[in-house]
Amino acid sequence: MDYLSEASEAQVPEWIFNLPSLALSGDYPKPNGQTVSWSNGDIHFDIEDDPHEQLIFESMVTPAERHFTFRSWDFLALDNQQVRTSEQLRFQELTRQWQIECGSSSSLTWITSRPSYLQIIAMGEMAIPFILEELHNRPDHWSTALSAITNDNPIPQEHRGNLRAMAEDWISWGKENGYIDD
Amino acid sequence: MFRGFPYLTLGTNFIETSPASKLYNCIAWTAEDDSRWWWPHPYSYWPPNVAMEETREAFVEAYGTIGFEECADGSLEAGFEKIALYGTADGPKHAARQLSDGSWTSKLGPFEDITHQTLESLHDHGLTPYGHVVAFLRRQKT
Repeated sequence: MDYLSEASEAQVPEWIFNLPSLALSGDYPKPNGQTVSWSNGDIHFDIEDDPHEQLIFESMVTPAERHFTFRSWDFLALDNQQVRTSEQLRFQELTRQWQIECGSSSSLTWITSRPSYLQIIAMGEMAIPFILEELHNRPDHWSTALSAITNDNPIPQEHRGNLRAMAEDWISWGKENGYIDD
Repeated sequence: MFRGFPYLTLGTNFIETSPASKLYNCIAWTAEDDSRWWWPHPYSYWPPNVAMEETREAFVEAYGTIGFEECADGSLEAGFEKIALYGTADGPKHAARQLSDGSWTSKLGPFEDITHQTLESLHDHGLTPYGHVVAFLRRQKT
């Protein structure tokens, strides 16, 4: 069974990571084109609404003709640790993109509205432990994302703007709410 | 090109004066505060009782809380220290502080502090987000 989709002209495998979206046909759960990964020659797609399944395609061809063909597909059931690993890799990549998108801006409004930052917020509760770990290692402007996800705000007014103090506030919050072991 | 600024040439018209840091930004740096990120935003420091708005007026008001008032230009004036506020139609984007020899010091967002010879070297050339100078401010040196 073949499935066709538009693709860029770049070479396999790099170009597939840049697909803005996929318009595959077929009777299977909708893959999330933003979370595609590449492993041992197979292409893995996370499935929307089900982090425990990945859709796997094999043997794509004809990228030079601006489309590719999936020869077969299957599902891979992921355990919770694998899901966490997959989501953590996605978080790390989005964080890396976010740093690039921020450039030399000082505007926190701009910084916290970049596309990658919004995608991290869209990850929801899954992103909380990753953000807290990142805050522990590298204080950064994560309060907007954490507040959006948790609908909470542990930052006292006198800590506003102090990234180290705000990181500590969120780490304390993480311990109180079971995201970090004491 | 340095940090997306096509008219910054290291060693020619600017030098780096600090490592990169996310602990403070350009507005904080002009206020001589290297411990906080200043911006009219719920998770930044912003002077009390100043409008939480990304407008030229709000930034001038914020600088007013530390003794600055608007002035005509960025020329070197004995007895005064000066700030140049950059912005676009969307509002303020950057600020630089004048040094005693007439050059300027800037914190480039989350990156380094630099000393640059001219304000124009950070002007918007279609690649950078700072826009142009929209206000000059000064206060008497203490």
